[in-house]
Amino acid sequence: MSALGYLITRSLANSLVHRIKRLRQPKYLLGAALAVAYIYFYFYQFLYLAAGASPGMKGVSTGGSIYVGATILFVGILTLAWVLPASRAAITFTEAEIAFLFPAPLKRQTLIIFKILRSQIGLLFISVFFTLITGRWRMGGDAWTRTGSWWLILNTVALHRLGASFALSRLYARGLADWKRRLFFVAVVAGFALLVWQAWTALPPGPAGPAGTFAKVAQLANSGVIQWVLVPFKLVVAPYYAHGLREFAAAVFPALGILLAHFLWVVRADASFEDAAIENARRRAKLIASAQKGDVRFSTKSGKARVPLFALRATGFQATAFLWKSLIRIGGKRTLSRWAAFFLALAAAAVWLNHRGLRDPSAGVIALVVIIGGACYIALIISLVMVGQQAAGQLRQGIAGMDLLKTYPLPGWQFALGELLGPVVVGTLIQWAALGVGTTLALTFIDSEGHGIGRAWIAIAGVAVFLPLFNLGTSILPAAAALALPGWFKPGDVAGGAPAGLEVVGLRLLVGIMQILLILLAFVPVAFFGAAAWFAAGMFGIDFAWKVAATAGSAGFVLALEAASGVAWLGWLFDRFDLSGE
Amino acid sequence: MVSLDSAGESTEGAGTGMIAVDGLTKLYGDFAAVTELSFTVNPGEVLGLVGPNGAGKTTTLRCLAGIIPATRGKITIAEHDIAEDPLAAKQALSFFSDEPRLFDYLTVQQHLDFTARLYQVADAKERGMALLEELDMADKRDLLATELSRGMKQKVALACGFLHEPRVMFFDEPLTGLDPLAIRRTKELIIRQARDRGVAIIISSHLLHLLEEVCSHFLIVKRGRKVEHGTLADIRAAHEGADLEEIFVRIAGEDAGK
Repeated sequence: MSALGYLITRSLANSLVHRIKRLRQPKYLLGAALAVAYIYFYFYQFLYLAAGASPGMKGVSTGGSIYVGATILFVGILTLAWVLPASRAAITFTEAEIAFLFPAPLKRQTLIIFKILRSQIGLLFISVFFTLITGRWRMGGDAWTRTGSWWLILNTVALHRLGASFALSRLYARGLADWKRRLFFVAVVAGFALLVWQAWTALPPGPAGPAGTFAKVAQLANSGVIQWVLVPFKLVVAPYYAHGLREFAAAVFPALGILLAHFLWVVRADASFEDAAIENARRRAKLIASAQKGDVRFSTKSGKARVPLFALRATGFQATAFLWKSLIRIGGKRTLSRWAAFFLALAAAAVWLNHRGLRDPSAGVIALVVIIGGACYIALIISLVMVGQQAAGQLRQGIAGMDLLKTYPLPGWQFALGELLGPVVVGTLIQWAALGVGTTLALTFIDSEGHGIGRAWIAIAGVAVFLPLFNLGTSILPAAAALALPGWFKPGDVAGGAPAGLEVVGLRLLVGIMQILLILLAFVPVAFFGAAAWFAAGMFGIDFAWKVAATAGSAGFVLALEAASGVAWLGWLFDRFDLSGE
Repeated sequence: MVSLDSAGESTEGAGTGMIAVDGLTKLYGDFAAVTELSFTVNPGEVLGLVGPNGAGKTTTLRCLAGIIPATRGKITIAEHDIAEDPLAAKQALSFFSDEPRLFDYLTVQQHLDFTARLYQVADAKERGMALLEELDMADKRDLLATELSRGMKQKVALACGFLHEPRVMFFDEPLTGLDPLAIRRTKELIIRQARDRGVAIIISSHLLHLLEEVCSHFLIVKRGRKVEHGTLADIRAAHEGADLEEIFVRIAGEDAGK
């Protein structure tokens, strides 16, 4: 056990030293400083201190509705461990741990205790984090007792999930079919739900409104059989709602008793987790290796070969090769055709709804118009943020295979453009489709006799011109950040598969703020030239369509120049990217 | 050892060779991974890069292939300075890492198509098919990279690397993880590239017997510095006729006990 303790403490110490040493680079130091400031001002000052001053949450008794709600939530989370178990044996080891510890003369219990101890550092961090973000709902006590309470709750959940997975794997080993397990737990949940329903209907009706409903729920949880069923769950949650140290001390011992019972249950479970752990580690290592090669994915299942959207000629503009590759990665001809068919069907439905809505504006048709049209515009707005990020993500994944990329005889800007183009092209097509369908539906509310429809479509066409350039433009800064600061974008940097550390939070925050500022800054000349063209066209008294064309053309030209400058900058960064510097 | 008709005498420092390295130095912070390395590899020569772990072999190869920049020194590939004209230099070279890096979502044929566009290989279809035939991979052309064994992946990497007919090739532990048959075929391929096409090749490997079979020249490095350079006969003569393994052990073991 001392060797395992050494492994835990040394790994933690080395990880800390590595991160502290990284702070010698000014960019990471700046990131760490920003993250500390962010956590202090947002989580501590704003979420924790300021919110805690609100008197409404104080003085809630243990029978209060919030306490009952938290207990019910806790019950739900533990039930999920049985209905939707994490895996065959929810204990995960890294490949190195398997290589060193599995052949070593260690008992199975020792390995389990090692993993439980190892998880404590992470759970402690999460406890502190939860204490800060749940400050708004605190009922009393101080930060220490609340952190301790969170630690108790999280540990109980973790051990319960582990114990449930062990119990289930023993049952599977004895031949329990998965459907029988699900049926059994569905039956148990249904039975309990029936019990709750009967008790609920037996209660006298309370006052209307949410407050009345909450009060009735609290009354239900504190009456009949249900109050006894909920006792162990309430005991675990109770320390969080304790008022002061004395109440906490009284509440913490029963909760610790339940945690200890879980610990003994898990440690004494003689479940064979080795095979599942090896398989989990293999899959995880494969996912990390794929990510390091530039292919971030969430499953190790191998797909079928995909047909490219277009044939790639052997000569021509080299960046096209990256676009061609990206489109295959996104799904190839088959997937993209399915998307195209979906949007065509949606467009046909939109046209039909538009006609129907104009002739017979019944409530059902109007509801469909509002729901589908609204969904299209919401998707469009979300995509305005997402496409640039996706494109930058594609480039980041490309950087992971930098050894290979650096041997290709092409200038950096072609690589950058090629990698960004795939998501930009697909994202733009989706945006155009959403814009078209959304506008068709929105025009249901415009008088067909007026000139509004024609003008609306001309304006929409103007917006459509901007979208690909906008998408390309918004991808520049996050992509540049990945090239300038690869240390915190490298997939598989740490055991969890993603880079971690305080400075990472700060640097991402910094990039987010800078991106917003840069977008605003980039739009100043775009807006200026667009407005100038609009007013100049107005002075000549030309047609609305030509005014829009002049505005979109001049503003689009400026935006295109900016995007081209951004791509050139990315190319410059790529050409100077020094793998040996990281 | 391979007899190479076109092999000229290897020279010290930057000359007119296909690969010319003059005063290559690579620093990682204060640590010198490679120090003042100079050598030339002529067309048709196969240079074995040998040294103990941490000697700077991979760093040297990565600098030569333009993957990482040299801190000091001049590297010329097919008469193109890799720092001044990297695109022309890279057009003339191929780098093969110890682990074949393929895109999981591309088929074998799609890898060739992608590589052809990057290197602008006009007759890629014919060349690619011939290469796949030569590597016994013609029937695997529609398989995804994930469906291939390690040896097959290595063959795909070789096919992609050979497609643009480079005049310079760098191999970093090319035979790691291959079965004996695949080792023999890869070895023959490397020899043919040097003998038939006059390609200048550098191979970094710890498989000394293999290097003795394939290489016309050797560069032994230790702590980033050149220790020996020349033909195997020259090096053996300088070490009282010892074989390469014995020479390696002597050089690597000089520090033992210090």
